[in-house]
Amino acid sequence: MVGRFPYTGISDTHTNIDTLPIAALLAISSDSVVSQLPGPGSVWDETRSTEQEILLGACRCQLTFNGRPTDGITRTCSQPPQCSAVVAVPTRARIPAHEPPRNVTGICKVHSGRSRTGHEQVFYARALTAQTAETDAIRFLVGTQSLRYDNQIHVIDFDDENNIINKNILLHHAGEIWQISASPADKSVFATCYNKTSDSKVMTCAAVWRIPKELQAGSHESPDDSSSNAQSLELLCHLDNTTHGNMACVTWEPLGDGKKILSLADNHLMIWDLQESSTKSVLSSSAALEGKGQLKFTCGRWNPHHNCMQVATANDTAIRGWDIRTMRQIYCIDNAHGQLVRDLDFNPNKQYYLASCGDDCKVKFWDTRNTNEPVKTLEEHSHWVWSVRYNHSHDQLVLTGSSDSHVILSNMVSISSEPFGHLVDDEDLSDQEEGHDEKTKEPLQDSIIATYEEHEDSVYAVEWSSADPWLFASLSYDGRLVINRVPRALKYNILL
Amino acid sequence: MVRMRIECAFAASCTSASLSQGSRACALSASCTRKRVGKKMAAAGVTEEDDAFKKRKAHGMLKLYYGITEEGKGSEKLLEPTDIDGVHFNPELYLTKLRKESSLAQLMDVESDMVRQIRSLDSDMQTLVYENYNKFISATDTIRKMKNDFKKMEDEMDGLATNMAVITEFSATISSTLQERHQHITKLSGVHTLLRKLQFLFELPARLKKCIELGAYAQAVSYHSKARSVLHQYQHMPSFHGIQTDCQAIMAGLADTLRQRFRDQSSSPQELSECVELLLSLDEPAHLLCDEFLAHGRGRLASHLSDLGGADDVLEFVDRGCGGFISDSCLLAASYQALFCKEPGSTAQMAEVKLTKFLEELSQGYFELVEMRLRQERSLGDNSLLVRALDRFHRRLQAPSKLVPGCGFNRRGTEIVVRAAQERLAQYLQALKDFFQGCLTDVRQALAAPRVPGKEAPALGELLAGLSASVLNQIKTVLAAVHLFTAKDVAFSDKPYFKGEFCSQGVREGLIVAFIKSVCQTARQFCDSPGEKGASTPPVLLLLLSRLCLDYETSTISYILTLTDEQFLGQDHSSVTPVSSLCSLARSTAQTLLNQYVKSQGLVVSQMLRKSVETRDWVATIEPRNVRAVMKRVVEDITGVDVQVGLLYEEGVRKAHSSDSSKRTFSVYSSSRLQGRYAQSYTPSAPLDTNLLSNIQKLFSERIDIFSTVQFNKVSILTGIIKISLKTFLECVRLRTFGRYGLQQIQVDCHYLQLYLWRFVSDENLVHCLLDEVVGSAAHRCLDPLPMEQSVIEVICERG
Repeated sequence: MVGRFPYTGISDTHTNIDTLPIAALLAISSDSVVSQLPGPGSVWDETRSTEQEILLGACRCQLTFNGRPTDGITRTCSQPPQCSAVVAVPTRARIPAHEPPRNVTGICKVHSGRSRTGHEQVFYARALTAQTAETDAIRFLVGTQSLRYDNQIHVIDFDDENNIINKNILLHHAGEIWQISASPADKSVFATCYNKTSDSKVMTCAAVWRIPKELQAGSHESPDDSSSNAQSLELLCHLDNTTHGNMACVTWEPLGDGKKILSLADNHLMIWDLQESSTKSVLSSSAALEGKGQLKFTCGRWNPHHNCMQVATANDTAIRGWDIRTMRQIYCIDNAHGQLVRDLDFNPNKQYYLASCGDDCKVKFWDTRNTNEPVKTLEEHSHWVWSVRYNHSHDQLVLTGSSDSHVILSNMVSISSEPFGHLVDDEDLSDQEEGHDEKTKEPLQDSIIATYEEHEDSVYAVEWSSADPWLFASLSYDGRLVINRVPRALKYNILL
Repeated sequence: MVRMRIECAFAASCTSASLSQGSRACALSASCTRKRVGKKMAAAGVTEEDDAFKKRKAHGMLKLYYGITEEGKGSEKLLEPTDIDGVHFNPELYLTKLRKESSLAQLMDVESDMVRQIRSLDSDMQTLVYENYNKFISATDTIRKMKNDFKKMEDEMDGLATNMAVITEFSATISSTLQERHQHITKLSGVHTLLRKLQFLFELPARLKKCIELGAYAQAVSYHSKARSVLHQYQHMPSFHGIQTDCQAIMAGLADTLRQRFRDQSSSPQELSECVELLLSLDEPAHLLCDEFLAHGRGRLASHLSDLGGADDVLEFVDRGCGGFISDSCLLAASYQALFCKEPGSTAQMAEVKLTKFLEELSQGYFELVEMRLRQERSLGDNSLLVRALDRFHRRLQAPSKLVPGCGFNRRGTEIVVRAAQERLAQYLQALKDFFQGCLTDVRQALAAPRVPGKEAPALGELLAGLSASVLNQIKTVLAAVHLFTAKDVAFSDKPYFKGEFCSQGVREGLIVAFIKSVCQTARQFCDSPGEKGASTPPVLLLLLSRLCLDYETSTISYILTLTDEQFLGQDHSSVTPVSSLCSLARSTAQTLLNQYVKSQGLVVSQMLRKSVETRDWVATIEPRNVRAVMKRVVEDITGVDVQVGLLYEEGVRKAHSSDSSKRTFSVYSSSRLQGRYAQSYTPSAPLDTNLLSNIQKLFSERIDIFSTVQFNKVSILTGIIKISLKTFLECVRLRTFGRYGLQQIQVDCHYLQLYLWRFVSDENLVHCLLDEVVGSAAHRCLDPLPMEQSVIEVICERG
């Protein structure tokens, strides 16, 4: 590997990457780049953020460095056993000069380090969830996709105060992870949908897992992590789907005690009861969607209202609501999107409000009592929208991720649970004169707050943190996880 | 001296001669003249030596008398005392001077001359005296005779005076005798008159009855009105009272008859007015009469109004309305005014108010009818008919509005005309919209018509030209029709509304601009409709419309507006929509349509690709022998789209499309790249490098915006479609798991696509990039990544 680098200053072991000039770093990557390098002296500045931007010819270039053998960016790692430099994010004139300064909090590569054989493992990733039960630490779970290597669950901690990302890796031997969902009750428990391949047969299954105890305890201390000694997950139970087909989605009952799981397999809708401290799963009820052709559910969400007695599912272009007591369909939005519906989310604070997104590049907001037309439609993405999420506390904040590699944060005040322009109480008026004035000056309107362009590949998942309502993560296919904050100005605008 | 005397004498004789001539004057003046003559004669006898002044004065007076002026002789000569003929002649000075200056001989001559002169003067004087003497005598005779005549006359006059006195006395006697008799006669004649009047009164009831029987109501009324006051005055006397009662009864009957006639629907206006006149003179209360008169008129006019409904032609309708209702109401108003509003006063005012109110009520109904009728006038074929009808309507309202200024006929009429015009504009706008919709339907039918197998595509260019031309023609027709409203010969065209607002706000904004906007709106609706799923709009229509809108932006809008402005925008300067904003609207519409076209065409291809990826079991597939049929179909479809777009849009520019990038070199180039990439990818020695390389390659390729805005040219449109298709391909591939042969099949397919798609896009690197990513993703999703030999791929592709 080292021999490929024309730059002689780099050895394959224990070179302090931090002192390496950027020119050198780029020079090692490709001969073709050299002609466009900036002059010498552009030295990586450690005191600045984990990523830096330098001008590279006409385009701007972001570089992410890592002292660790992986191309992740955890800088807290005390003793890098190896050194390599990776130009992780070559941007293609991605950040226009007029763009407002954004609050990029952290970027993390999910690519794991070396495998036992010493080869670079390239992981792609689609599955992301916040650790729902965790309310103190900002923690996300990411599942990787690889057909050749052992797949991993990355537990990503973000230290808000120091802007430090910490990562723990757990092995998920069962197969590549398509979807992940964390238990709302037990922070160490989560469920995944994964591919099981055997002899030219691919089957998607679902299982419930537990994070090993040791890791939970020492999660804040960074373990001496090489993937070789990464721990395996503890399997709690399988959700048996042999008779129902491929699992598409698994999701926990929100606000519940972590005993109920909804899973979707092909055209089946299943509710599972977890028993004996989640080690046994019992299919409590199921329903099948009948109709012409091959019907396949793409995703489902549990409605947090109505005592969690309703779920919504999407198949093809239709969105359906179900009552899980009777397992009957209660509403159906045919042709909710022009093409496939990719994701759903319920407004956590306002009943009946549902957001959906799909391949027609649109995000639509529905009132499930009136399924004829959407309440609102956003058309900001330029390709399929894969994920939509309401903020848990401030439901005017809506996050969407798309295969145009953009993440868009929108402010949907007009259909949020918070009234327009905040009716200020009289008592408040006296001592909050200034804040009031500000509000009357510019009443909030539905708008795009920011478009985040850190990703290079399609963004398949976005998620709000469960601990900090102003923080969110997005995951792109190339394994990059980006953590961002809601812009400060907007935050104050909402709070005050 | 001698001469002066002679003159004196001469003057006297002349005077007496003149006297003799006036001998027939009255006696008194004659005597007076005599005395004066005598005086003068005496004066002539006075010696001249002692009083020179007197002489001179007399001399001057004579001269004055005779009017002799001696100016020609020189004044100094007159003043000369030595001049013997001068006024101031002094004999002493003359003699002294003569003696001093003259010799003896001269003295002698002067003396003899003087003597001779004196002699001749003497003789002259004698002659004069003689002549004058005769005249004196005859004058004396005349005077005497006159004296006698006067005496006689005085006597006769005395006699006359006496006679006259006698006559006067006599006449006075006669008149005093006749006095008494004359008074008697006067009295008798007075009685006679009175008796006649009484007789008239006594006969009055009978007379009135007779009159009424004969139908001479006017006569009866005049009789009665003559007698009325008398009867009224003497009503305390029983007989008179009886007469009065009779008369009143009769007249009441008459009044009743008249009222009946008045109320009779069939009686003509002349009869009516006669009735009213009579009734008025019968002291009927005016306001009741007014009311009745108007009520009567109301019936007639209302019947006119109810008649109006039948007319089927608007012109006929207006004609009928004008002929029936308007003219009758004019007549009514005129006769009413003649009857009730003659003398100024409270009655006239009251009557006027009543009339105004009445007409307002009735005209309300009429105007409502007219408006209703005008609203029915929906056929847009011939606008001139409507304009003529409106014109006539408007003109005919002038008469009643002049007659009854308070009623506002004119204002109301104008309002109706304006409303009708506005409505007309709205109808035209609707008609234009409908026409456009109809055109679109035609175009859709033409597009949907089953294609003749030999013919590749419907002639889009012709369709577009046809659509554009017919719409433009329609606009012109409508403009021409609307222009009639402002024609010179139309009476209402010089109203301020038709000069200003109608042209700018009505025609330009309300009709033309609104139509252009609605065209854009209609076109946009095709984008909004859920075309993604149901494919309700054929994509070709979107393409056609986008080209139409683009043409509008470049030329048609400005042409239409110039046309409109020339015809209509004369003097009005109110703000109008500028051409530029319409153009930008059209352009953005064209852009939206084109984007939608690209989206929907991309979707068609995407769906094919997606189904082909989703429905196949990629793990258990067999080794690829062929390019899959769906890829061929994709290429065919895109070629079809290329032809389609080429009919309407220009080629556009390609980026770095060198002539040597022929199929052959291209495929070699691409295959080597692919080969290199896979080789490295799957050799375990260099996994990082693969990643690195792909990243670096990404670094220098442009970011691909999938659903980006396309430009108005063929290359850009096709690039958009291909981008969308390939991105879908990529995303679908990423969702699947592949076996070895699955990967190889994808390789073959991608190579095939590369062979045929590069020619459509502006930048062939774009296709490379996307297909690279597809194959790369497939490789990552492959359980057994063993790529196919590049040469085999090429062979398969060439065979397929």
